[in-house]
Amino acid sequence: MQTPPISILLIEDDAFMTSLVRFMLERQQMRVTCVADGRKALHLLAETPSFDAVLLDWLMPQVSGIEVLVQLKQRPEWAAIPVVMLSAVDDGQEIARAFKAGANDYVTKPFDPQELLARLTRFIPQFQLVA
Amino acid sequence: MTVQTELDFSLTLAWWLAWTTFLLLVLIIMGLLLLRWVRWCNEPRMAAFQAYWRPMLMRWAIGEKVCEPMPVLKAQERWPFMRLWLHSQMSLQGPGRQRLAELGLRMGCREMALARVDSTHYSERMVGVLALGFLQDRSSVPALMERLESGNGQSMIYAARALLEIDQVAHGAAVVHALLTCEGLDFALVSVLLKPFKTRLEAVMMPVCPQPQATLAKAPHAQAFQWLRLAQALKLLVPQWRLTPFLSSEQHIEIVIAALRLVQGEQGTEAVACHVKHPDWRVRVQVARALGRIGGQQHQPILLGLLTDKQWWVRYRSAQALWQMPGMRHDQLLAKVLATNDRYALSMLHAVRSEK
Repeated sequence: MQTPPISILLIEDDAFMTSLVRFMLERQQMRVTCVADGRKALHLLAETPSFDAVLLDWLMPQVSGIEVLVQLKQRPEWAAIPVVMLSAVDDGQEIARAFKAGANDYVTKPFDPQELLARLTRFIPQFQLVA
Repeated sequence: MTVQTELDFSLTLAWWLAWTTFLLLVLIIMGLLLLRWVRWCNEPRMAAFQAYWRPMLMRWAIGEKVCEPMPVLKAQERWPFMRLWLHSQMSLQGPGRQRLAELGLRMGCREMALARVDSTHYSERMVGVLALGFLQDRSSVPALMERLESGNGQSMIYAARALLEIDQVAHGAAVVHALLTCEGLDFALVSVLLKPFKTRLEAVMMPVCPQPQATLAKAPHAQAFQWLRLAQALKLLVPQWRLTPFLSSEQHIEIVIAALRLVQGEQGTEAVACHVKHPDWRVRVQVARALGRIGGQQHQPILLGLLTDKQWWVRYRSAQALWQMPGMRHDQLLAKVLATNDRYALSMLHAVRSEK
């Protein structure tokens, strides 16, 4: 039986960064859904909560990444989805705030593609099986 | 009786002026429409360009094999390619950068960058300067050094980034010297462009930290102020023993404010708290912010006092600091503020609560 592809939700408002991360993840046979702002992401999650992981930017229009993170971790049906923050915010206090809010990991921009992939796939057991 | 048929000169002038204005307006509208049309015609071409080159750059960056020989860029594609290449460079870290530098050299980015470093367009000049850095072109170091020393408060930061990309160990000292002596330095741009090199810059900056006594003797306080602001822009962790002399009440007020912004860790709370009654409200604002950042429950009375300050900004920052204080129970805080019988303090706390 064929296993379904790993499904990642990428919440990022920068078009270039979106295409870069998407390209990298699709190379690993992952299915990537891209959303450009926090509000749309929450709507999408309400409709399709079956993502294996979320990659989340911090600075976004409408609803910021940290607010999305708080809401994700408050709702029981979403709380188990691993969230990796991918942000240009590199202040120690802000990173600590993201971890307190429930982020599983934090990668700062600019990023090393291999490092991002390694950090993200730690939380996806199916990836270890596929790889 | 004769009727005067000759037109008044002023009326003739007005008639011609009206027509000239009308014609100029038509020309401007036509020019705008032409630019719009050119852009509209270019859009599909640019979309095709991006659709081809973006994945190509990404494949190159992650070390995948790409088609050989590489396609040759058309004249109108060179500038968009360089911008795309630079964007990729600035988004990535690790071995991908080196691979992209190799690709840039093969695609002729060095020649394109050199052709643009003296462009009349500011953005072209800056992209050219940055590109030379990301290409790690050592032969352009003398030209970059010249820009670093003679550039304005923005362009010299681009030159600094390029030099640090080429060799951060060799050029760290020259960059720090230029940043510390530059007038009108754009600190926000420093923060954006130079923060990736903060470890190296910190190693150079710490030994050249000015002595407050010497600074006072050499008024105005420019040297120390520049150092402190640069440290803040680079988000350096300045040890408390270095900051304490700058926090002395004898120091210039701008120095005290800049030093308060840099205080980190519990050991700095005492030096911060002693400014709580400072006559200048800008200092009291920084006291509230600093205590919110580094203070604990024992600093609650100080912040409650600042919450009843006569200056709006001091009350606002104190309310924020109290509300965000770790371990703070908001119902207890509300009760304490009610006990002060200060309706301004209470309304400020409500305002901050609604922000959250």
